[in-house]
Amino acid sequence: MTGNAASDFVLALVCVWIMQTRRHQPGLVVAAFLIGLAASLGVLRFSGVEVLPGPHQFASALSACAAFPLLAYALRYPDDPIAAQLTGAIRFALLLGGLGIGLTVAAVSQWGPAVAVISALVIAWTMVAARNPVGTAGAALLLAGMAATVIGRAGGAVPRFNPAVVVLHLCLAAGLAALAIGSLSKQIRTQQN
Amino acid sequence: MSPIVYAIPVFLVTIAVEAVVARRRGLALYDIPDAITSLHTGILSQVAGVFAKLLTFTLYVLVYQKFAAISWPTDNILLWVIALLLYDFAYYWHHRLNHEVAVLWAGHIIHHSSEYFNLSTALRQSSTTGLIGWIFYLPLAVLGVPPVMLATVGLIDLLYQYWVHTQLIHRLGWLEKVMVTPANHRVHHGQNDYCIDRNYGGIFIVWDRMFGTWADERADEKVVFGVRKPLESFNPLWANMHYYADLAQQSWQAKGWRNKLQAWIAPPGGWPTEPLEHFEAARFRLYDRHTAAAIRWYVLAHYGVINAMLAHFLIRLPGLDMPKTIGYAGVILGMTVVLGGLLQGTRWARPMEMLRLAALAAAALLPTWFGDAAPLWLRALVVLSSLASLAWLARATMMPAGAPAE
Repeated sequence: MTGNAASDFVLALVCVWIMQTRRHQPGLVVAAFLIGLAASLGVLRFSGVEVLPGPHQFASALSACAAFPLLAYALRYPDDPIAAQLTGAIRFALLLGGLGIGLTVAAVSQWGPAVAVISALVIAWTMVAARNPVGTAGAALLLAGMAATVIGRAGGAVPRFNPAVVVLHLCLAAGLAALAIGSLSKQIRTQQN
Repeated sequence: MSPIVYAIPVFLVTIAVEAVVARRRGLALYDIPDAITSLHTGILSQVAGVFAKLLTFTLYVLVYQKFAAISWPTDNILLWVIALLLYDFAYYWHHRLNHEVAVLWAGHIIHHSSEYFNLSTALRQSSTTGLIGWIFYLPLAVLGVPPVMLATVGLIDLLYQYWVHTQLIHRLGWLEKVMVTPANHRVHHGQNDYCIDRNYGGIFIVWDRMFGTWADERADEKVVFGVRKPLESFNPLWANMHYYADLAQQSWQAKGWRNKLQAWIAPPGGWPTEPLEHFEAARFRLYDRHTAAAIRWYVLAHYGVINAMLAHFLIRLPGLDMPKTIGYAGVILGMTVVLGGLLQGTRWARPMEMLRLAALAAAALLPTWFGDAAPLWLRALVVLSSLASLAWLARATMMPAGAPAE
C-alpha cells in the first residue's frame, strides 16, 4: 500500500467511526459518508486501480462542495432540520453538491476548494466562539490539511506518494475525529439556541 | 432534429382516440380546457427544453469528460440495457425528490395539477424541472455512460411514461409488480391519503417496492386526481411558476437566513410536525370555469396552429441564432398564455386574442417566417382564418350566464 493509499485508508476509517458513533447527528453522518466515499475510492485509486482517478476526483469534488459545508452547518446549528434529520442533510448535500460540481466543471474550477476553506473557517469560528478546545484543534487541522495541498500543489497529477496528499488525508482524519468529539460539547448546542 | 417532432402526431392521434373511446363508454375523462392546458404546457416544456437542455446536457458532457471512469462502448446491447436500468434508478430518486423537496416540487407540481387523468396529462410537463434535475444523472457520467446513450435511454424512459397516463387500461396482472402501469401510476397522481408520495418509478416499479414507496390501486376507493391546493388556472405560464411564487413569498416573509433557505429545501409545506391532513374525497369538486363551448372549440382549433409552430420551431432550430430562437419561443409562449386566458375568461384575453390574430395575419404577409417562405395557399389560409376568427371573436360570448367571475 502506498503512502497516499494508507493515509486515505486512515481517513476512511475515521469516517466509518463517525458514521457508527454519531448516528444521532445525521448531518455529521452524511458529511462523513461523502468524505469516506472519496477516501475509499482514493485507497483503491492509489493502490493501482486504473479506472478510478475520475470517480475519486468526482467524489473529492463532491466532498469539497457538499460535505464540508454540511459539516460546518451541522456543527454550527446542530438542532436545525438540515443537521438533525437524515432527509434534511441528504437534500442539503445533494443540491449543494450537484450545483457545486456544475459550477466547477463549467466555470469556476476553484469553487470546491474555496467552499471547503470557507467551511473550515466557519467551523473554526464556531468552535472558538464556543470555547471548545478539541473542536478548535479539529478546525485548525482541517485548515492545515487544506493549506498543505495548496503548498504542495497537489491538485494536478498525483503520484502514488505525495507528501502534501498524505498530510491532507491525515490532517482531515485527525481534524474530523476531533470535531466529532468536540461536537458533543454542550457549549455548541447551547450557543445555537 | 428533436425526436419529439416525430412523436407529436402519435400523441395527438392517441389522445383523440382515447377521448372518443371514453365518450363512447360514457366516461368523463376529458375536459377541453384542462386538456388544452396540458397540451400548452407540453409545448412550453419543449420550447424551454431547448434552452435548458443546452445547459444541462453540456454539464453532463463536461462531467463525463472530466470524471468518467471508463467510456462504455455503444455497440453492446447489454450495456444499453444496463444504462436504461441505471437511468431508471436515477429517475426514481429524481422523481421522489421532486415530491419531497419544495424547490423541486415547484417545478414538478405542474404535472400533477390536472384534476383529470388521461393521455394529455402525460404531456403536462414542467418547463423548469430540468434546471436542477440533471444533478441526479451525474453518477451515470462518472460511471462512464456516454452522453448519446444517456440521451437515448432518457428518451425511452420519457416516452414509456406516456401510455401509463390513462384510465382506460385496468390492472395488468403480474406486470403490476414489476413495471409502471396505468393502475399504479393512477395511484401516483391521486390526492387520496393512501396515494400521497407513492409510486415514483419511471419504467420499473420495483424501485418503489425496494424503497418502501409502493402502493397498489384500491378497488374500494376511487382515486381523486390533482393536488390538495388546486391550481385553478388555465394559464400555462402561471401553472409553471405559481409554486415558485409561493415559495418566494414564504422565503421573503421568513425571519433569518436559515428559515429563508428552509422554505426552499424543506418538504412541500415545511418539515412535518404532524400527520398529513385527511383528504375527504366526497367534498372534492372539479375545477370548472364554465367556459362557453364555442370558445373551447375555438381554442382547440388554434392549439393546432401553435402545435404546427412548435414543430416548425423545433425543425428550424439548428438554423436559428439565439435572438431569433428567443423571439420565436416568446411568440409561442405568448400565444399559449392568451389562449389560456380565453379559456379562463380573463378580461384581457379577448383584446389580446384579437391583437394576436391581427399579428398572425400580418405575419403571413411577411416574405419569410423565421427563415422559411411559406407557399401562397398557406399564407392565404392563415390570413383568411385569422380574419374570420377575428370577426367571430368580436361577436362571441365568452362565458355563459351564471359563470363564476374571474
